[in-house]
Order: sequence, then C-alpha cells, then structure tokens
Amino acid sequence: MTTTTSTPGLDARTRAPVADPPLTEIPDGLRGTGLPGGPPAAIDVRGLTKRYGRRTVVRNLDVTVPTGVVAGFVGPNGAGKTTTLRMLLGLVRPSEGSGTILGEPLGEPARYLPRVGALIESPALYPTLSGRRNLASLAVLAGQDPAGVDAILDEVGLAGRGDDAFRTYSLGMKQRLAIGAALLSDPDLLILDEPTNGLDPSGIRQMRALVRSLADGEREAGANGRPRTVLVSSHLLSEVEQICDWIIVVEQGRLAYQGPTDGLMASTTSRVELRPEHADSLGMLADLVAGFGLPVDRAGDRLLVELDHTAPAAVPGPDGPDGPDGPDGPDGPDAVLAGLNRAALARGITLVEITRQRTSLEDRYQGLVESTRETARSTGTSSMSTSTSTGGEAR
Amino acid sequence: MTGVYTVARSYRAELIKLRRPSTALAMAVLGFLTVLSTVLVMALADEKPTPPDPGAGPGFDLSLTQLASSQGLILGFRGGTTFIGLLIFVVFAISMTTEYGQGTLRTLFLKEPRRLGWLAGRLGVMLSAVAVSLVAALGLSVAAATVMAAVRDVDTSAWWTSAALGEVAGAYANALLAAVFFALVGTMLGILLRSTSAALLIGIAWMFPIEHIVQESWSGATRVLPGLVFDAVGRGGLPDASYGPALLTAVAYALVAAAIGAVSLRRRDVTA
Repeated sequence: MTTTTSTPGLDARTRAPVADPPLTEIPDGLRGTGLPGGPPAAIDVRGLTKRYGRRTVVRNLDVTVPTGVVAGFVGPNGAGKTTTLRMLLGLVRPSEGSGTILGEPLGEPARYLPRVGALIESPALYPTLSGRRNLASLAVLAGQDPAGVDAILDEVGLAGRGDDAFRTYSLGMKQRLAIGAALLSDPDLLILDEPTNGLDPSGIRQMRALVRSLADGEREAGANGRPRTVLVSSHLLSEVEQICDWIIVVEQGRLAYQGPTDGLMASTTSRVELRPEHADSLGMLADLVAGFGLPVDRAGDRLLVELDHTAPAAVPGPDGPDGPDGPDGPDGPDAVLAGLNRAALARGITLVEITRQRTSLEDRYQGLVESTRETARSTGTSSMSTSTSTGGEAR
Repeated sequence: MTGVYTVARSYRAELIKLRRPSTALAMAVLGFLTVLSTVLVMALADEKPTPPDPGAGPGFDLSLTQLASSQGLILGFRGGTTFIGLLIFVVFAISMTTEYGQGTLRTLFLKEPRRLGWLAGRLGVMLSAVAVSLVAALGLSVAAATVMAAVRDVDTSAWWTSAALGEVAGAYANALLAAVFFALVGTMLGILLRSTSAALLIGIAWMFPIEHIVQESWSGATRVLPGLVFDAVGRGGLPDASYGPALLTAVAYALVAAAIGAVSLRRRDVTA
C-alpha cells in the first residue's frame, strides 16, 4: 500500500522546520492576546479607517497581534497593508479608530515608537552616506548610543561594508541595513513592510532567515528580558506562512482573517483518493464511505473522498465502536483515514493507495480574498464578522 | 524639556549627515558667487564718481572713489547677497523635498515622531553651516577685494579702520539675516509642495523674475514683496526700502512661512 500526502503550492520541507518552535512557546497560538490574565497584545487596534477624500483605503479594521509572535500581514497589492502599517507607526493619521501599540495609545506615537523598529516599503537612507554614518545619525536622533552601530552592522551581515556609501549597496544589502536601522533601539515590536520585495531567491531566503532569527534569537537569548513581536507584511502568503505563527489577511481594506497560521487551514477540506486492490470492490467501498457520511465520487479505478475537518466522520476508532473513541470514532483527518482503512479491511477490501491532497494555504487565502471581495460587493461598506472554531477570526 | 532634548538630538544627528559632498559643493558655490560678485563690482567700477543720489545706498553703479571709502571693503560682498539668497533658497527647498522624494523623512519620523523638534534641530544645523559658510565667503571676498584694489589702484587706507570693520560686521549680520529669511521660505515651500521642481519653479519664478517685473512698474514693491524685502535686508537697506521697515516686513514673512511650514509638517500624512 502507498500512502502519500501532497500539498499543492506548499513546500512542506521548508515549512516544517520553522513552524514548530514558536508554536510550542505560544500555547494555543494565543499568547498575549490581551485576554484576561494574559499579557497585553503588542498591537490591538479597533475600527481603524483611512479615507482619502471619498476613497476609503482601510475600512473598520480590527487588528490584534499577540505579544511574542511572528505575525504575517497578508493581502494583495492595494489591499491597504502599507497604509495600515503607516497608521500604526504614526506616519499617517487614521480617519477613525483607536487602540494600543505596546500598551500605549495609538494616537501618541512618541510614547511607543522608541520601542518599535520598522522598515516601511523600500529602504530609505541617505545614498551618499556610508552605512555606518546612516545608522549613527539615526541612533543619535533616537537617543541611542551610536557606539552600538558596529554590533548592528555585524548582526545584519554588513560589518565589512559599513564604511561604503549606501548607494553602492545591492538591494539585499540595502534591505539589511534598513532592518539594522530598525533594530537600533532593540525594539519590542518590529514592523517590516514587504522586506523581500525586489530580492532574488537567494536574497529572499537570507531575509527570511534573518527575520526568523530576529524573533527566535531574541526569545531564546532574552537580551532585554522581553519577548519580541515581529509583524511582516507581504502580498505573498507563501512568503509569510513559512515564518509566521499568526496571520492577518486583508483585502480591499477589510479584515478577511486573523488568527494562528494553522487555524487558517483548520476549516478547509481535504480530498483523499482511495484505490482498492480490485476494481470490482469500488462499489462496496463507495457504499462504505458514504455510510460514514462522507461525500464520495468515483474517478476511474479510485474513489475521491472529501474530508471536512469541521465535521469528522463517524468512522470507528482502533478499538471499534465500543472503544474509547466512542461510536463516532476519533477526530482529525488522519484518524478518519485510519478508521476508513480499518473498516475497509474488516469488509475484505484491501486499499493499495491512499493519497491525501490537502487544500493549500494559498488556496485557502485566495478563497478568503474572494469571499471578502464578494462581501464588499454585496454589502457596500458593511462587513460580516464570524469566528472560526480554531480561535481565528474570519470576516 | 522633552522638546529641547528632541531639538538637541536632531541637531547632533543632522550634524553627522552634514559631512557629505553636497554640503561642500553648496559652500563652494556660495564662496564662488561672493568672490565673483566682489571681482565684478571692483572690475566694473567707474573711474569717475557717479552723480550724487540722495538716500541711495551702495549698488553696482560704483566709482573707484566709493570703493576707497570705509564701505569699499564689503561692497562686493553686499552685492552678492542676491545670489546668496537665491542659493540659500534653492538649497533649503531641495534639502526638504529630497527628504520626501527619497523617503528618508519616514525613516527619520520613525526614530523621532516629534516632527517640529526634528525640524528645529535640522534648521539649526543648516543655518549654522550657512553662518560658517558666510564667514568663509566674507573672508574670500575681502581677499578678492584686496587683490582687485591693487589691480584697480584703489586707496585702501580707509578699509582697515574700526569704522570699516563695523561695516564688515554689519554686512555679515545682514547677509546672515537675509539667508535665514530665504531659508525659511525655501523650507516652507519644500514642506508644502514636497516636489523639488514645483518648489523651485514657484519660488524662483515668484521671488526673482516676477517680483522684479512688478518692481519695474511699482517702486513700492521693494518694501512689500518678500524676495525684494529679504534682498533689501541683506544689502543693509535700499533707496526704496529702508532697513528698519524692511527688517520688520521680512520678520513677518518669516513668521508666516514658519507657521505654515510647521502646521503642514505636523499635520499632513507622510506617504512618501
């Protein structure tokens, strides 16, 4: 028997190593959400709106980023990501909305910006000044000791080029220097807007590793004794899903989803292909699967079965209907598949192939974006809010 | 006290940025313009005295006799104040629009969100640089005047008296005041328009050709229009605009420019 798992559009090999550590540190993916008893959220804003004349760029956006997570802020180009980030950073005045950043009021950026580092859009530093003098000038402006500049240059891998003019740097080096500028104040909150824009694949990998290390390194070392929160925006979900524990999806200035990255997948459907050893047992297998309440279709010598995470099938557990899992059997797609396999075997059907095709995060994201567009079209300025069963919030 | 610290930090940070080629270039151009003015004034001076013009201040229409007076040493420097004003306006306008154009303003405001404090520190540094540059330009002008006096056979015995040194100090102070006024207007236009081409086009077109065209048909323009008023202050007063009223009018313009610039910088979104 062959059992394979394919995930179109998702590279499981690159995702797995970086997804585990932060999630183990953040129970239920909800550390510091501002819930009673927990630490305050790093970012907690409500009803954020920005209008330019009659055009609304950001509409009634609620954003919560738990303390200590690496959060992805995702949406297509023009979704309002950069405007939202500019509002969070005091560069753009919100038309409406309130909230807190690091526990300080949104309307008073001077109170929280000293603890925030940010890179907004392209790196903007002085072309004729060296990397070192660019950072030294910003350090002095922020009230930091410019003596720390060398350590920052070292951290972002530019120690050997610190005395070269900024204009001579490659785009990747410019991005890294701009991140260095954001790190000058050893920030509790790091906001990076499209940090991989314009980078080649190698530069993207380096940037991804740098962002992840900025979050993980700080957590492990505890340099300032406080957890560091990182908010990374991108128009590519595949870009942020590899490094983020928490995801916020926006479309047309509206919130489409926010919650744990894994939660974004939780309500999706998995499709499974089952191939019995003998084609003449397809009918019996189809009846068996349908008997468990799972949608099934025939496709040649195999069956296509839809597994809905939110509605586990009543398949038997390993100990049968009277076992500890009860008559409804175990939860979860893996357990459902195992139950199906056992039930088929019990009826003399041998499965030679079970192929699971999970809906990719990209597909789920696209579905959310289209759903939000549809909501915007049908309701005008209003939006509907519902909560998923996984702690995430979808609109 | 927070505001004072902000200004002090901004001043120190801008000081680090000042050491770059564009600063040296601007200083060199200022020195060159001053020397050029001095050379031209002395080279083109008439052999015979010009007819007396009651109330007339020193202009380009000079004689060697006037050059031999206690004011002779700084007549060239004074004549260059129009050029200096233009240069200062351009430099301050461009330096502000470039911050918007390069996006560096957002980088700065992420580090120091108290925008007015940052602006005060920045203007402080740039005007300090202008003050130093004007000292250097004055020195170059004096040196050029001394050389030209020998060439034109001008008697310089009155140049090195205490009265002449007082004239030098006055000329420097007036040039610096005029530079501050031009700087404030340039900065205000830069903040307001956020575009180098628009700021230079509007500022230069208004303060130079348009004001001078109006001046041709209305002598009162020298006492009213900003560019001409600033120029009158820089020259220590003119026949159509005596020093005191010109200074008051210039201060009023500068205050209005500062207020507009401050409100715009503080309240408008930074989208660059």
